[in-house]
Amino acid sequence: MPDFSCRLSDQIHLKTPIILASGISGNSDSLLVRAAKSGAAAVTTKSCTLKYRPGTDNPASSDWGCGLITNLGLTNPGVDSMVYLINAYRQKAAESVVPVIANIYADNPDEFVELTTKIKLAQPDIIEFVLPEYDPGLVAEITAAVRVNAGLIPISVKLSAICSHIGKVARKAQDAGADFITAVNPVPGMVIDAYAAKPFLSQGSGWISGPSLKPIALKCISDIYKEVSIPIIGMGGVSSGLDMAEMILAGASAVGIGSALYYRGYEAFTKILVEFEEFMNSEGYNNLSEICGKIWR
Amino acid sequence: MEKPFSMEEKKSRVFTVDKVRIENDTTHSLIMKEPMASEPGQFILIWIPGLGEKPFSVAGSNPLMITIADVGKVSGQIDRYQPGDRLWIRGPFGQGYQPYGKDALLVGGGYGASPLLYLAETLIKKGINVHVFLGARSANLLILVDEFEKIPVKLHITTNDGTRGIQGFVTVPLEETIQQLSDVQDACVYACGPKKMLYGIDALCERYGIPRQLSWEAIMRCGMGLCGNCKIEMPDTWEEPVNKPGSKKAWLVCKDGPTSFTK
Repeated sequence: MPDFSCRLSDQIHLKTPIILASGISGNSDSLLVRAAKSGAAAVTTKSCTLKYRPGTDNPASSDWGCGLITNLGLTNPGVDSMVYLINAYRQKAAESVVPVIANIYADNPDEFVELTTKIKLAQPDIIEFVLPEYDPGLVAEITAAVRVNAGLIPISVKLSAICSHIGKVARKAQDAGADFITAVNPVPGMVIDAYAAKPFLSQGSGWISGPSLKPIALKCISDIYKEVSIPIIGMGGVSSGLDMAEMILAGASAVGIGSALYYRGYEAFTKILVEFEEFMNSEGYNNLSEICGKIWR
Repeated sequence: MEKPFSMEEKKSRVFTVDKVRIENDTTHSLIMKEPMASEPGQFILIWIPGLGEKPFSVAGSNPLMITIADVGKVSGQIDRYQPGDRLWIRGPFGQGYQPYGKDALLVGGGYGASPLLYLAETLIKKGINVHVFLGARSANLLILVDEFEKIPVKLHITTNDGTRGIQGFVTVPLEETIQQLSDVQDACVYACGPKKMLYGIDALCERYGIPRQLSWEAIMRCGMGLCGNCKIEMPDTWEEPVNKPGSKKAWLVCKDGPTSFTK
C-alpha cells in the first residue's frame, strides 16, 4: 500500500491528504466530528467573521447540471461562537479528532488583526483566511498582519480563481509569511431559469463549484506551484480518486473536498481514498511526493 | 446506494396547477397537470420566482400533488394559486418510506399527515392492512380526513381539545392498536410530524419492539447535504449504520432522510 502520510510542515502531519474544505458543514461541531469519523484527515470550519451573519434566503444553492451554484451569504455564528464550536468539536471527536483549520474572513487588515487574535484562542491547527480582494499590496499587508498575530499557528492564504496572476499573488503571500496556499475558492456565476425569466438564486448570483470548477482549479494550482515553495492545499471540484490524483499532479500537497459530499455523501472521503489508492498502485507510485507537481518534471 | 447521475431531476421544472382542493381553513392541496416519479416520504422544493423556495412532502405522484399549509411567505403565496398557474419544482429528494410487513400503522401529527395519504394508497396496493392515526390540536387543524375516509383504512382521529374524535394524543389509540397486533415484528409504524411527537412515538414503539419509519421535519437551506442547517440528533434507539459513522449526532434530514428506519 502506498504511503499516504501527508506532511504539510514540521507541525502539521496528516494521516492522508484528504481534507474537508471550508463551507461544508463547518457551522456545526457534530458535523465536523462526522467528517472526521468519515475519513477527513483535517476539517475546515466555515468562514467566520467578527460578528454573526444570518445568511441569505432560499434558494441558496442548486445543482445546475455540470456543477453546483451556492450563495449562503457567509452564514456564520461569529468568531466568539466559532471558538466555542472548535473546542466542542475537539471534545466530541475525542479519539477521532483530526487537525482543524479555522477559516476567517474580513474586509480589511484591522479586522483581520482582531479576528486572528480571537480565533487564536481556539488554538486551531491552521488559520486559513479569505481575502476581500487580490491587490498584491493588500494581499501582502493582510498576510503579514495575520502572520504576526497568529503567533506559532501556521497560516494559509485562500485564493480564488478570479485572482488574476494567481501565481504572482501566491508568491506575495509566501513572501509576507504564509505557510501554505489554499486554492481555489469558487468562481462567481449565475443560473437563470428561462421560463421564470429570473436568476434562480435569491441573491441573483452565487459561486460555481463542483466538476465545472476542476479544470479552472488545476490551472490555478499549477500556476501557483511554479511560483512558490510552500505547500498548496488544492481544491475545486474534486469528487473522485482520479480528480485527487490530478490535483496532486498539478502541485497540491493536500486536497480539500466540498461538493463531493453532495455527489457522494460523507462516504466521499473513504471512496475517494480507495480510488486514489487504486490509481497509485496501478501506476506503481509509493508516496505522495512522487506525484506532487509531477506534470512539471 | 448512489443514485445515477442525472442532470434533469435536480433542476427546477415548470408545473401547472390543474385542480385545487381545500383541506381545512389553512390547508389545501394542489393537484398538478404533470406527474413526478417519486416515493411517499420524499420531498420536493417549490420555487416561486423572486419570492423564495421551500420544501414540501410529496402527497401524490401521478399526477403530482402537494398539500400546503398557509404558514409562511412562500406557502402564503402558493395558497392563492388557481388552476392554470405555474410553479417551479425540483426533486424528488431524500429517502422515502419503504413498505414493510403485514400491518401498517400510519401516524400524522397536524400537517405531518400530508405524505400519508399517498403512503396509504401505496401500501393498500401491496395488500398491506392499513391503520391511520391523525392527531391535531383542534378539529380545524386536521387535514385529509375526507380523503382517508374514501379509502379502505381503519381511521383513528384524536384532537387535544376533543373537538373531533378522541380527546388526547394520537399515541393513545396507536398503543391500543399495537397491543392488538398478532405479530409486531411483521408490522411497521410510519410517522410524520413534529420532532417531539416522533421522539414520543419512537419511545412507544421501542417498548413494544415494533419497527418504525419516522419522517423528520427541519428547516432546510441548501437541500443538498452541504450547509448543515437541517442537522438533527437521532433518538438513542436508532442504530448508526456502519458506513455512516458520526451520523447519529449529526443526521442530515435532507440527505440522510427525511425517513429514518429502526427495527
